[in-house]
Amino acid sequence: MEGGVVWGIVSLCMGGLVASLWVLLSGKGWVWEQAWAMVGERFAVGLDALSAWFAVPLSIVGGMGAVYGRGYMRHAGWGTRMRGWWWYAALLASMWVVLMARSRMVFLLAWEVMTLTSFFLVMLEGQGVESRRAGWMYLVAGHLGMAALVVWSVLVPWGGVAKASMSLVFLVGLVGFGVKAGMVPLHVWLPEAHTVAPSHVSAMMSGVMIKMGVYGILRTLVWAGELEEWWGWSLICVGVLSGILGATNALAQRDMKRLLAYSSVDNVGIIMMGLGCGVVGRALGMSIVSACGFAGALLHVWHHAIFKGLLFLGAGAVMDGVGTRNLNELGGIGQRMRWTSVCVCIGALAMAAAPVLNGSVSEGLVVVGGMLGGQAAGMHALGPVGVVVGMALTGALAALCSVVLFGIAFLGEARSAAAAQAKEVGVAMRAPMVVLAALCVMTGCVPILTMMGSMPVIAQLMGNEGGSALEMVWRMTKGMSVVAVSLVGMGLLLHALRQRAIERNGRVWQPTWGCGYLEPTARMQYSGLSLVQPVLRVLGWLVCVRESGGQVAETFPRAAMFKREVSDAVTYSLHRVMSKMRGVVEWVRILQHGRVHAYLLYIVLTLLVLLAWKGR
Amino acid sequence: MKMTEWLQSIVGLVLAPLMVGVIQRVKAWMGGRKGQPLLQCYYELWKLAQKGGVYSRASTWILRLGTVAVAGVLMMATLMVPVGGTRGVISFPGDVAAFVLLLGLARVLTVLGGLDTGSSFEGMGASREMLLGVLSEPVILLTFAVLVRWTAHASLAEVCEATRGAAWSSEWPVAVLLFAAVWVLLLMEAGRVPVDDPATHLELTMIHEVIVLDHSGPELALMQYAHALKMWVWSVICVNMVVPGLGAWWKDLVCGVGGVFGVAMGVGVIESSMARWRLNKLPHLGAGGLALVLLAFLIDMWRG
Repeated sequence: MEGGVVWGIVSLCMGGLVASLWVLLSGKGWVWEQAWAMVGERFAVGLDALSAWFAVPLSIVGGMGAVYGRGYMRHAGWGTRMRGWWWYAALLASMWVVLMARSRMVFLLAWEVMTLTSFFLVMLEGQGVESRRAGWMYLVAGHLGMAALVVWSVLVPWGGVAKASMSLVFLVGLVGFGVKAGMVPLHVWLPEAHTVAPSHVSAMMSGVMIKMGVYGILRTLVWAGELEEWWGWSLICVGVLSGILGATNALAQRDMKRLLAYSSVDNVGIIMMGLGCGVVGRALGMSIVSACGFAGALLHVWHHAIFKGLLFLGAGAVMDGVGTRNLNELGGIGQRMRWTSVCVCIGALAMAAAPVLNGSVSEGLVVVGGMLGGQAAGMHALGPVGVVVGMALTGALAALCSVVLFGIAFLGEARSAAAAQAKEVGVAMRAPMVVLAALCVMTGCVPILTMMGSMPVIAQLMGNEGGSALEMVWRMTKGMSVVAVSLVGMGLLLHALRQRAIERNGRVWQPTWGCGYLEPTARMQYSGLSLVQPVLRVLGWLVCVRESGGQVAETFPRAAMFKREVSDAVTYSLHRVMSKMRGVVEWVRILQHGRVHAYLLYIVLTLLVLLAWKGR
Repeated sequence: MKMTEWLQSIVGLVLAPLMVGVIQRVKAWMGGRKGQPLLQCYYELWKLAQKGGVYSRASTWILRLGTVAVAGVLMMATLMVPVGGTRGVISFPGDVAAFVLLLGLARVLTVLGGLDTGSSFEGMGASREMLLGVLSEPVILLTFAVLVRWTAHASLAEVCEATRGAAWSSEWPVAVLLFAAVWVLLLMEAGRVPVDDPATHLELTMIHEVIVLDHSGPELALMQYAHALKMWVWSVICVNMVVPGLGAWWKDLVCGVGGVFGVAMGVGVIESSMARWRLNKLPHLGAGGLALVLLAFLIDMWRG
């Protein structure tokens, strides 16, 4: 029966994929409206190019996650599994409705269902304190964002004429959708929730649910008509902060999934930088900058969903095959888990923006957009140049994250007995990873296909102008394609030459050179933290490390303890502010005493006040 | 013309190891010795290609993929770089980003190949190499941003053609500052003194040499060739603003190649005059390069 549920979800995802690709390639959308008895509102849903663009990664990662979950959850009890599938299907459905929503109540209800179902999914596997803490943090953060989104949905014109100032709408939308997207400083819930959730759910959340926040901001920009420059500047600032803070904190993590979660913050920063470039370009009338920025951001939505989904599935495979996700206990599992190793290698290189794979196409477009935006006159150039510097640091740090993730976990020698006995995972878990890895390579080598689909969306964002600017974006993607294919060809040629030399001259296998040391152990290898230590010395102020203990004073010391906690600068500051505010909050709790008759009194008083105000 | 594009790329692919020979010869001359033959790097590459491979038991397909891919990536970068202002074989608008991403891929694959052996020496080299990446990447991208702003083109070939010989024109402040910044980049990316000493025998002082400690035979030949290509690529970009355009493409090519060997001689003089810096001073070098580029950007912004 579980197989039936999974195939049902997969076929619905396939259907959704076909529908959204049809909308993107034909450029025709549709809207369906009806009056609705609830609150006197309309019930309107529709699918246009922008919604279809976000529906494609939803279908792909959702379908692959469903197949993966079949294998990943095989040890759980029947009740947990069925609940998991129910919430998973509900999450997918609610995200579809969020994308299709064209009226206020539909949107708010779907968003709330999305938050609640993902909360239940986050808590699906967890039994301990960490899991409960992560779930609570996620729920609270989600509802704080929801509060901003209620205000947003009241103010935004829903496709009609704008009534309120669009700047206010943009700000409120930035806060509300920013919480969901995981922008710094509103990202505090992201590392906790994505680490604790089951891997296919983390892949779904990191790949697709975060992008719902990006979708909301894009929808605001589309409905705003005229874009102002300071919106672009605020997007750029948020993007640069997210990129640098996310990537630096990813380096300091020992848990594979926590590293990937912070890396998602980093990639959302890249998307925001691209959007900022696009908005600044449109506000200044530089259509090439706008085209490059929007194209880069949109493509990165797809590419990040694919490679981050792949990496989270890989982290889950490591957990399944080895039993631990701690980088300090892994190592050398590439020799025993070959399929997982190849797939995670492709995902990690895509994260590092390697030219044959898909990350490079979108990040390259954002960088070029920033460079071209630097031609603006006077102080207007500082925003795009900030994008260039932000992308540089983010790119270099993300490359280091990839090296840490893949190099420490899969290469070298095993650092623990569990890693030495790693087992490859089953077909149900391998097949989705292979499909996503193949998509990474395909969208990297032939980005023309994805660009074709993105044309209507970019045209919508650029206000239907700038044909020659899109021409330059086309030429750049074709050039990246030429680079990718020639690189593969050149690599094959060099490989053939090298193999001929080795066949002719022989090969020998020896232990790794150890400078004459007779008893090398696997613990002598560099660990994750030692690999990033030089970089953390330079950028370490973004990561708050609290260490306690570790002092050994006597000649024959007794037991000593060393404790090290890593949290990012924003979370740490937020915790300190919250603990100081606790005293204030305690006063408000006097009103929450649990006595029903007093609550009835509150309702009566509120009604009296409303009647008096209405009747004046 | 297509033939000139292929010719200048093949010149790069063939002459890059000669730069290593020139640097060694200059160092020997400054030390009062006779030194190696100029073509020594070619002899070494040939000797290594005739040997078999000795592989570490801990290494996997990553090391073998890494060497081939790094050499391939750097050959592609050489095909993109314009010597003496003539276009490279591969050139398209926005290829400055592709160029930087190619160099980043080379660094990641070199480091992964090193980590594959499970040795703490390679791990040390890996951590230092990634630090160099973090320090140099902002300088690289900001240099290209200033060049793109200055010339209003987004392709490496067009940018270099527009700024050829700019150090002798009225825009010399920006050109000289960028020349100095790319010189710092050349030292950082190619691993010369004061960033990394290629002549040291002490593993704890190496950065690039120690990552390829367990590479041998054809693998080592590919890595050494790739390293020489990296130096070529950055020297071409560095010298582009100093070498003036002379009209005919072959005169420009000869001048460009001559400029590159001039850079090699300069690197040799620097290597003979100073010692490698302590590793905790490297962020200062990176910040210095960034300051030079920021100054160039401000001057360009002030000029309007």
